[in-house]
Amino acid sequence: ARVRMAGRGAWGSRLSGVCVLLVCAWPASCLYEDQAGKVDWSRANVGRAAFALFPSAQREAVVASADGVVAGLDIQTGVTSWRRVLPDGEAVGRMISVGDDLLVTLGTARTASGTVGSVRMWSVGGALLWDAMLPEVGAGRSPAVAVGEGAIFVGSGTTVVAFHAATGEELWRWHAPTDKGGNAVIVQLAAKRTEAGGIASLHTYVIQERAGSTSRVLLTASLAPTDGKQLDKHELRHGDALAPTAEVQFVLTSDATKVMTLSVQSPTTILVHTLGSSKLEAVSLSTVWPSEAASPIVLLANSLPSAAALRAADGTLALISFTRAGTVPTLVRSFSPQAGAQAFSSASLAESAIAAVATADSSGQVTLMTLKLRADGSADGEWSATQPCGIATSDVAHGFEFWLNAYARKDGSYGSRLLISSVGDALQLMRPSTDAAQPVWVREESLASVTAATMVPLPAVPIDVDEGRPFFGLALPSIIEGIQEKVAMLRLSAEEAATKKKIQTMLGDAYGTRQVVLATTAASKLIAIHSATGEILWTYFVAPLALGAPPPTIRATFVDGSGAKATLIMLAADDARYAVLTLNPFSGAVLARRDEAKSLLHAAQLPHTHISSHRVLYLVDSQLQVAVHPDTPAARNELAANLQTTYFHLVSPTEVQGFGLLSATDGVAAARATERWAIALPPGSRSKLSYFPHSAAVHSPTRTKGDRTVLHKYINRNLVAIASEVDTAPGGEPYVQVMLLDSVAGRVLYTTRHSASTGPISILLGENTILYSYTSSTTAQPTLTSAELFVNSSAADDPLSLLLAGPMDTSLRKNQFDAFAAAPPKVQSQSYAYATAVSALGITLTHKGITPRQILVGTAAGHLLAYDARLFDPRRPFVHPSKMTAQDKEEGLVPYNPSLGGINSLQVISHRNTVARPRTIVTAPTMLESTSLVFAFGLDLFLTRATPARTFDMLGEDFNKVGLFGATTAMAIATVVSGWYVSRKELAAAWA
Amino acid sequence: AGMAARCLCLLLGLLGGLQAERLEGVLHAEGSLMGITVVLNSGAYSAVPRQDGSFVFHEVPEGNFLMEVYDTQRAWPMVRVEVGKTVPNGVTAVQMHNRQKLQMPMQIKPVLAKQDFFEKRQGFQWSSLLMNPMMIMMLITGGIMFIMPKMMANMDPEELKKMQEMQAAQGSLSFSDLLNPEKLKEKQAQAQLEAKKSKKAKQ
Repeated sequence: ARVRMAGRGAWGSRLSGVCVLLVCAWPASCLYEDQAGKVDWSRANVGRAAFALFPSAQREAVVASADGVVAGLDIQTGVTSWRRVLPDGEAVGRMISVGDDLLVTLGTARTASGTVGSVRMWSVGGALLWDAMLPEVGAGRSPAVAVGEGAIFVGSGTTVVAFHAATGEELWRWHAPTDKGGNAVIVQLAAKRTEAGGIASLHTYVIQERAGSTSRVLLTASLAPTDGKQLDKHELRHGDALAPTAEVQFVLTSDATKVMTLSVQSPTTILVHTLGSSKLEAVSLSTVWPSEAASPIVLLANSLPSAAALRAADGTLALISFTRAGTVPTLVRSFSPQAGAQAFSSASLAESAIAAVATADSSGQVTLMTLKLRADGSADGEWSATQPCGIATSDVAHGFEFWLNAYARKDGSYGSRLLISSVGDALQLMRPSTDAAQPVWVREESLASVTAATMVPLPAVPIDVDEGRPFFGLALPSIIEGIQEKVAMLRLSAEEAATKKKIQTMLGDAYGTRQVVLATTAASKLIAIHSATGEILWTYFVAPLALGAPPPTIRATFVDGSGAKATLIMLAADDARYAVLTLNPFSGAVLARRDEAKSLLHAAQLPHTHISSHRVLYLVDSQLQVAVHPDTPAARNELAANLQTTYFHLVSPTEVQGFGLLSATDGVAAARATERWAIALPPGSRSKLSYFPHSAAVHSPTRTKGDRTVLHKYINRNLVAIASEVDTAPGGEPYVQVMLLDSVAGRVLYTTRHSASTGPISILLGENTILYSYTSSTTAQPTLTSAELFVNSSAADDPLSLLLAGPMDTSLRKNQFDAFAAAPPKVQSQSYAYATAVSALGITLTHKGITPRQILVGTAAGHLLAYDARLFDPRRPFVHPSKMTAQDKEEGLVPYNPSLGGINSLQVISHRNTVARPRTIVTAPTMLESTSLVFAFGLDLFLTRATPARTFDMLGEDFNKVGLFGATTAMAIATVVSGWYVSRKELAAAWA
Repeated sequence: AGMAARCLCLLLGLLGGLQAERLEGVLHAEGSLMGITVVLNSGAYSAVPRQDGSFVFHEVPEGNFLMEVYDTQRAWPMVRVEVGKTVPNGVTAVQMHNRQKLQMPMQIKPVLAKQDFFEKRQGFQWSSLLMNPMMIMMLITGGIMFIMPKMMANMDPEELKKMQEMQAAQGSLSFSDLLNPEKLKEKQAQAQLEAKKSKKAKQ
């Protein structure tokens, strides 16, 4: 009866208490080995391909991405054969093959002491043979490289280092001459070959900037390959004609005789240096492009024999060659642009080279034209006829790049394959063939750059279509129906059965675990993934909103309606315009599109009303004018009705700004926004934000303690938790600041500061809890701090008052939460040492919010762990376990321990999978109260089901059905037999 | 040459006013080392193990570091590393779990060579079937059914008669009667009759 006093809240607590007991009764993890892969799936990505090689020893394509991943992909299937994820902050800037079975990646690595150059030598099977770090490289440049004589020569910053190709042992170092106070950067290395194939001399190209002068000098020095002794040095003219050091690009011909770069001065000229000479020739391109209309002209990085590839702004492509005698270029072949997107690639084939141009038309149909170049740079024949390669993903029509894999056939001809990376980051392999319909394989690498994800339950036909019959009917009819269906399935042919199965996977299940994960990516692509299988259902690439505009960013997605009638509203925006797209979340079909030539600032949904079946969206542009979507009088009225209670906020690196809405004065816009408040974030900080989802269920406003008294939770749906990592000026101490903000009133409700602490930070806001992670800068100890928010309540909770007052009328203003007047929360917090660095935090969400929550932790190592939320309860008592009070024990509190201990493998819900570089953990409820879907994304994706209190609302998979059946049957038999036995006995007794 | 490089690194570091150490170690584990990264201070400095398990942090400045091995398949020890001029040989490394000092290059073995992520599924057991409450109930009922008549048979005939009379007076129903509705009605009618009779007798 005392529990009842607290009203409904206490009832919830009692229920939760039952669940806590359930948690206590079983270990944390509930996954058996045979379940792995049935309720979860993972996807290992590579990221946007930046380089690709086709080692001849393997039937693999080796791809390096800008995200710092090197991977071998099976050329037949596209399956990852091996993958190496480089440390965070390391980028691959160049990849070259050495011989048949080795490759070198060069790039930059970020360490705590600064950016350094990195060189790694790999086997084509993905084994690292050796690695080295080099002094700081010049402004964003990757180190320059040359290979030969069993050595790898790398130029980085002002140093050239020679490494032994097999062992990585440093052979020698050479330092570029620098002026005092001046700046010098090695931009290119070239190895001049001898007739026998060895290296005659190593040529380095250094750009020098003299102190106090803007003029630049290009130096070339030749070094002895064996000991790094400087043989000669020349100062080349035209240094001022070079592009800025960070952008200047030198191209070495594949026969290593000439180094070329473009002059930035007008008219466009190409600067050519023949290895060993003391002059830099400036050759006008007027013979190739008579007019300047085609500028700017770009020198393509492809290495061709005695030739270079240039592309003009209009898409015209020209191949020019240099005869050996002089450097006057001759136009070898040109290629005029066609409708659609084009890309150029080349591949070497024995002594010659193949140049290729691929064109994609608006439907995604890819065609290829190739040209064979002889060793002297002249063309061997004309451009080949256009060869169709099939239809690629639709985004190739908006731009792509490709790598050509040319191979010689036995009959002397050559074949080719194209590895295409589209603007929407779809990596696909195509082959020229007259009957090719689609790519050999496609990998959606944009999934490495997922920015946000929402989950929409798949519609279940019995619920949404056949509304006359309840879905959860009596067991018998469903069993009969199931058997009938099974029989019907057996009668179908294999093909029909496959189609039927496909249709069925697109239908929801009774438990709501089948959902569509709608992932927005940084590559302007929206990807729908099936939550149960991990299969990609559809992709939608948002094309540039205007001709020549940059790719738009998908700013937000909103789900409207439910079941089969659910629609997805997607907002894509660039700097000057935005589009509102309405899509079917299950098929990806575009239902409506609205384009506006305004810069979008913010968009949000208005609360659900009973007036219209659709939720109204309001859109704020950079002029603070507010529009509604759909733009109807009804929607405008709805906005007008919500004007007083609608607030939004914007977050920039320096501040958080709050806005309110006012009625429009001009009559064109639906309303206008006005700034209400602004709160500055610490200067020079990096911040992370967390919100508790608006749709998430909160079951109880109270928490019952062991002595039956009640704590009132501070539940404020406007809360924003902001964690900032602040690097103070050199000499100062870095700190981490956490701020809790009411996003309506702009009030700072709670703020705390952890001195001598640094990132990486992550933060999680629960219904009335905050959890955040940071690292101590002195001990390097990763730490988690949790805080729980409570509030004083004057509401009477004795039985008489509750009886007299009756249920609370929440429509009354006085019973509602007032952001401006509510008292700030009482905060209780505790900190714990954690075993490893935390990259992402998440919390399970269930249908009604009754089930106790689990805290999900994504570690930098790639584990996804689930912890009982009680471990992060700030009320954990500071006593020895043996001295716990009975009340604390009853409440289910765990005695405080400053450390959360090591990683218990049973808590790793990602089990054998690695979730590389996790960024965010998104959770969604299912129809089962016990189960929550957990989707973790970063470089990799991982989706599983979390059951914090086990599946208490459904029979366990290991339930002994045979035992139950056996026991029931035995009981029935025993009943009949005993009845018969007794009646016989009675009869016998009667006769007696 | 490795030594020379190290000296050169040191020399360069000293010239620049900073001491930078080269930290080397070897991971001893069976199986692939593909997904492993070794980090200092949660990624301030990182190293990728080579084919033979060896790894190198190329230039580590003076300071205290916590070295971790990021591996999802095995559990590795954490190592406290101190780099500085005051430390003997420039570097000390201590394994956190057993306070064992490591010599350079560090030889590191996993604490757990294979992590067990799954719960053990309990197979079918007769004992669990027998301990099933329903089974226990059934066995006890069965037992009573067969033991009771035997007990009745061994009873004193007089006492038995007395008990039967008592039962008849209470109009008690046996379990088998409950299953037979006609017999049940009959018995109930009989009980009522007897009740009436006894009432009359009292009057």
